[in-house]
Amino acid sequence: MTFLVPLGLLALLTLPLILLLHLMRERRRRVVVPSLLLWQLVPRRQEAQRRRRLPLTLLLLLHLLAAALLALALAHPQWLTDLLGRERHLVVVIDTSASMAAPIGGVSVGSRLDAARARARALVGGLGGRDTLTLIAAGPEARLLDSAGPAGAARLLAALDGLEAGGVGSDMASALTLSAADMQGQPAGQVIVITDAALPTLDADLRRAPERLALSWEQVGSALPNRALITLSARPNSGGPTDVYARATNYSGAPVRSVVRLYGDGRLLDTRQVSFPAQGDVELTWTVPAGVGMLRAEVDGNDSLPADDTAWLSLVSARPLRALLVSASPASIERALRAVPGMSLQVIDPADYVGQESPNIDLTVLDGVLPERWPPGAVLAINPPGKNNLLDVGGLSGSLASEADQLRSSSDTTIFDGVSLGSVDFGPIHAITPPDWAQTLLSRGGRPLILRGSVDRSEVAVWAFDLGQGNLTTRLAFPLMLVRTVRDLTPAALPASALAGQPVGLRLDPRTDVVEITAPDGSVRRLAAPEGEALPISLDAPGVYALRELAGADEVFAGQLPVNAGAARESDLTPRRLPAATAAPPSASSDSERDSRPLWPGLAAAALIVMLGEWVYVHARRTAVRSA
Amino acid sequence: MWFKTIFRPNRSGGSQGGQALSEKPSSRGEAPLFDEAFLRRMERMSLQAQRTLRGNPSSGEHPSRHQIPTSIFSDHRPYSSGDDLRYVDWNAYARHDHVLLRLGEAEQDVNVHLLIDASRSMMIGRPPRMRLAQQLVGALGYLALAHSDRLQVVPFGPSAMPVFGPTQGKARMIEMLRFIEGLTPQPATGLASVIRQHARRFPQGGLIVICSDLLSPEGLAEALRSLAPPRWQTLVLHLIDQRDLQPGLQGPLELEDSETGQRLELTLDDETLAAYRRSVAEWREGLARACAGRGATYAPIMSHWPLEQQVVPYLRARRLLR
Repeated sequence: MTFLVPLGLLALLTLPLILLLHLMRERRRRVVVPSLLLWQLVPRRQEAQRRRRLPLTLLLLLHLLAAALLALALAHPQWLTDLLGRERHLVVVIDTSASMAAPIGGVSVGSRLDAARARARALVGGLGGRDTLTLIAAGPEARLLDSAGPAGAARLLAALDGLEAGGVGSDMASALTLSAADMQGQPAGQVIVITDAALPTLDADLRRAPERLALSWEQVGSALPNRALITLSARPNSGGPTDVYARATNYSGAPVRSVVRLYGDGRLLDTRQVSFPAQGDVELTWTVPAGVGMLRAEVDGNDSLPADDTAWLSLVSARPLRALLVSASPASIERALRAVPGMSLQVIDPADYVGQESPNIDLTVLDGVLPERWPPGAVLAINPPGKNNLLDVGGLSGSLASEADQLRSSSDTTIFDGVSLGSVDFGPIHAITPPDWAQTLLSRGGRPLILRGSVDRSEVAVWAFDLGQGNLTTRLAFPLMLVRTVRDLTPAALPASALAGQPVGLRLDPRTDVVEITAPDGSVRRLAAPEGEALPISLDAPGVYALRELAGADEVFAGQLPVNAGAARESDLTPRRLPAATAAPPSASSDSERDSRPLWPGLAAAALIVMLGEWVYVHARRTAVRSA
Repeated sequence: MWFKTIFRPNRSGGSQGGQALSEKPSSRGEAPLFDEAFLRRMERMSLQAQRTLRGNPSSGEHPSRHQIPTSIFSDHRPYSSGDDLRYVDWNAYARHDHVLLRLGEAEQDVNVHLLIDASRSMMIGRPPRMRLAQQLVGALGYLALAHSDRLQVVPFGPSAMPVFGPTQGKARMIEMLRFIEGLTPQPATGLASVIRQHARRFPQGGLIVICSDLLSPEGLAEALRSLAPPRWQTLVLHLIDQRDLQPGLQGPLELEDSETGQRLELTLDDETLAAYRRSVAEWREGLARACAGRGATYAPIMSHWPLEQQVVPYLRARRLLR
């Protein structure tokens, strides 16, 4: 309730005045008696005391009530419809980053996420009427879990039970943006963020978050010591030993002695005693012999957050590539292809090529030959023949380039970055009409030299010139262009490691239908492979994930992707100072007018009724006195 | 009977005495003071006057303190010269050789003074005390007239008002009743001064009946001093209203005196009412003591008592009537 004219409440000063008047002049009923002779004999020693006592009469109550009602009416009170049943909308943002798995600290038992879950359950239990509540999980990616009213409380509770702490970082900015979007058209909404406040990037997140939100913060957990392996990396060294670097950090105010162990493919390689300074780092390096595929480093645990005590690193830097070269004169091409790391090459004569489709061939290089249809996987077609069913190939044009026939390269590709093509003579060029699925990457005088595109389950690049009639193979640009083209056609190797919860884009083999991901705990997830796009995945639990790319029943690729939880922005369990709660901005004047209900007419009417009742009471009493 | 017309309602609007008497009660909407049967029953009774009162032996029915020669024997005395020879007891002379005179009881009439309080306080109450006072004075006056006593009705307020009488004989009854009914309320009560004044006017004394609520600031004891026996036989009829004893009031009140208009603010609670009842009881005891001290008879009468069924038997029990 608000008062438009608060000064009107000064009229309440009449209440003590009325009391004083009633106290001073107690109105007595007059009774005629035969004589006062007998009454004067009555002792009157207590009369003075009786006068001082306030006579609680109906008349006094009516006077007070009328004065109070009139005073309130003068102040022009009005109800806001919030109090008359407008629905309340709550948005509860729960931090689900890895640090929420740490204990609450102090005497409390359970994790920080448990405490946040309990608080959210209490909020769900407090829903009533037309209230609604939306649950948002703020992990590395913000997710809207569910939204329901009291009728859907069971659903909200189930969503709360399904929450797990994991992933590095809390995307508060996205969570608050989601909250703002959810509160559109909800003037009585409020956002409650439940977090452990271990948010080093909170200030930056808040700068990106929408403003003018009714936002309150609730902290769970307190500062706890922690040690973490926040970096584990290796410098690729083809064929030889690998240099490995690790950094471990002590997030506590006291120095700590601990042990760091390094495992290679599950075998203990080294154990080191380390002394952590207070709030300091320890850097370690190793040289790991060749042949080790997966490294695991561990710092002696026994701290608040065990998840970041272990880090994994994959030393498999290249993806295995099985190539088939079909060429009548494969020497130059074969020489360049063999320089590609992880490449296993098979060369056959065009006469022997009948359009093999094998799951064991990742890359097919066709020189002067084209099959009836594009082989699955990566395909590089060089000097396509004139008669084929796949491309519209015309006659050969002259090799001498005029001044007007300048090379034009597409800006969409990096194949030609740093490559000098000025002295390259591509020889006669086939007049190829670019198909719909292909894009011209390089052209001369409007004639495409190199095309690139995806068709069916094939990644195709077309070189529209004959390598044997130009001088490209004698230039440095040739192996560079060839290797880059192969890398462009074939999927990249898996990253050496990823941070928990951070999105990873997997570039899949074009033949892949399904990606099968086996988590460290053995659970298997199958994802459909998108065509021509990278598959975004997010892995929250730390550990080594096994990935398989399947084309039907055939396995196209199998690899491992290590995921680490240690990160400087997540392992530090020191709570940051949370901002103060903010109130919702005042609504527009039109809204306030629409939502307010003036009460003064009702109060004035009530005062009138009370005064009428007072008049009737006084009149009836006078009549009774007269009749007596 | 002849006085039946007194109680007949006035239908013709004539100016005869009986019709005029019933005019006021009918105009007020009140019942007449008596009915005919009651007066017939009252005629069998008489006032109990003391032998010591001075009266006129020529008439009247009250016993006198004097003995005179009479045929109704009660005593002898020696004959003296001049005595009527008809009253000589010759039988006694034959037996004792002494001439003795036969003596008998003498009867007399008495002066009956009926003092009626006509102050405003007599008008208060349910029923008003004045109503019973009029009935009592009317009944006693009727007895006095019926038994050949000399009657005087003296209404009083702050001072004595015009009196009715002295008179004798039943023939004055209608006039007496009309006089009683025509009394108007007076602003105050001067009980003691009126009594003293009346006693000075009638030094021979008589039977005096004071019919009042006795709510007068002047003391009754002082007033009764001038009505000393044996010359005066004083009868105090104290008319009490039920609400004098149980006021039935509660809370803060402003009490107004019906005669003086004086006001008194009181807050009545149980404690105050108990004190009031105690003071009323003490006041009544004081009145009774004062009457007893001056040889007067004190008879408290509640104003709601019915005259014939309760008041008359009470007066008979107190030997005020016989």
